[in-house]
Amino acid sequence: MNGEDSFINNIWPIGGGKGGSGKTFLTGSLGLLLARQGLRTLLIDADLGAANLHTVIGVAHPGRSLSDFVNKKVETLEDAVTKTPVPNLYFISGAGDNLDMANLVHTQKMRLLRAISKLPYEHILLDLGAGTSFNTIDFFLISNTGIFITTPEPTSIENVYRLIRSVYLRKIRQVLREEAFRELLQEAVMRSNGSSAKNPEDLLRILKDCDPVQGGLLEESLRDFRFKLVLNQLRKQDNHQIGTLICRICEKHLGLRVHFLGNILHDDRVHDAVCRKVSFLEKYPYTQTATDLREFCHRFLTDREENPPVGPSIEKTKAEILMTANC
Amino acid sequence: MKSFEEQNYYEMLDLTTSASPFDIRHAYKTALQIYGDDAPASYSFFSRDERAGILANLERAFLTLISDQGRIEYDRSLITAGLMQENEQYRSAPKKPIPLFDLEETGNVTRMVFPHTEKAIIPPAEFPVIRDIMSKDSLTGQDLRCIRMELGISLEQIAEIIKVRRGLLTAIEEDRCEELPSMLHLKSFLRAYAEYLRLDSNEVAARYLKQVSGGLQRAKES
Ligand SMILES: Nc1ncnc2c1ncn2[C@@H]1O[C@H](COP(=O)(O)OP(=O)(O)OP(=O)(O)O)[C@@H](O)[C@H]1O
Ligand SMILES: [Mg+2]
Repeated sequence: MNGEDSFINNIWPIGGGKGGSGKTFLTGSLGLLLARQGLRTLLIDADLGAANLHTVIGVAHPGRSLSDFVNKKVETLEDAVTKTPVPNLYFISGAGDNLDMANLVHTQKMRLLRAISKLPYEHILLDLGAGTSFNTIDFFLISNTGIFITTPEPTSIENVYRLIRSVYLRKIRQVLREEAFRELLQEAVMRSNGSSAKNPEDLLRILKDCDPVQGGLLEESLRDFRFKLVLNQLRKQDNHQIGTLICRICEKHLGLRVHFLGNILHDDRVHDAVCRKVSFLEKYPYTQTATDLREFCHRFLTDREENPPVGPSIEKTKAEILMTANC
Repeated sequence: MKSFEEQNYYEMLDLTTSASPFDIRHAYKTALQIYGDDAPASYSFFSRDERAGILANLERAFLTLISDQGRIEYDRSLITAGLMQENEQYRSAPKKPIPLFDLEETGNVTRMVFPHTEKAIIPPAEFPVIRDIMSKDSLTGQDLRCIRMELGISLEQIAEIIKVRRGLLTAIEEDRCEELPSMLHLKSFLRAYAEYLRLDSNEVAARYLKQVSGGLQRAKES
């Protein structure tokens, strides 16, 4: 292992359903708070096709972008990094060219994933946008510490469950060999008398039934996830427990650990700040929403210390990338 | 991981086998917040049939565990199946009266027995209804009653545990100042009441007394 490879960074993919749950806003805010604590932080706008993270962090015209790396206009991903006005905060734009996540071909995707996992920053936040395409999910699985964002609205919750199940299913595909996966699907269809498609958690149950050893291994690798959940745009009258309850459902019915990182209150001034291209945290530091963001950042950091993520080390990521490469 | 249908009644409700009736009611309420037909937290997660199945299971679990006889029989079946140890069973609080005060000042005050030992997953203070009530700076008897009802606790139940006459609790809940005891006693009853509901007992007592103090004064004068 050479020096560069032994650097351990923490990669945090951030995802949620479509419809503006606040992924971009939270990525920018968390990045700012981490950088202010002196942590070298990199934000990557991986919402290709609808990139807008630069606006939130006050970078008017990002020079380089991810597509320059994908199209080999720059040699290393590090060359695509832009400085921001905030010390310790760095940025890779997703704007420019009409590169689309869903259209990345396999080799481009693998090259990009590998390059990200080697970047020398303490924290790398990945704004993944709203997609649930194959490729987006692979980026979500670059580490096992993905962060889900939802609002209290049923549509947003529905989206986040869809995303969680997509990640779950993709993980099953990564762990099983392609052939084994297809057999499992066939078995599932047979058991349900050819009726509707099953949920991914049913696939695990069937696998455990047919092949307890393999099923147990899969279950364990699903237990390795250290997902997090944030509830954004909560209003005073909303049930403040929704986030905790969502995490319990994931634990109880999917066997996934999802740790709740808190509620972020809705505040109309977020919209104002975004429109005026100023940082909400800087403009309105004394609002409840700003306090919520700081608490979220605090919990985010302490949560890591309490249960250290097992997977985002380069070794693990590589292993997973290799597995992905097989399917 | 067991599927929901494979779980026993305690597991379904996220309870330990030594849970008290208070815990059981509380857990059932929480479960309805998760699985109820309009519960936002599980929106779209279950199909209609799955949800109906879960709710039916939860109801069966609740009704079995909350009935003394039902629970004894169910526990016995778990013990026979080797899924539970005999010593893990819930033992209800002793029925004999327990003195609230140490009148002789011997120093060994008997602490009131609160049967709930386990920390509930959601503290009562975080139920939306209760949170709203607790955000007011004075509390009426009606407020206290609302909280108690929200937690599904009967007057009989609480009266028996905190050893305060039912009639007196009713008077408290109906702000009938003329029937209330002295300030000192009232305060300790309120604290016991609030503690049983797992609320901040000092706050509850202070806010209620604030609200009735005018009435108490008048009752004293007349
Ligand atoms: N806590 C909040 N209070 C009020 N408004 C908010 C809050 N968080 C986000 N918003 C607003 O919601 C809108 C969507 O936010 P954002 O762009 O961060 O969502 P997104 O999840 O990245 O959306 P997309 O899926 O389109 O990328 C923005 O206009 C933003 O101003
Ligand atoms: Mg966005």
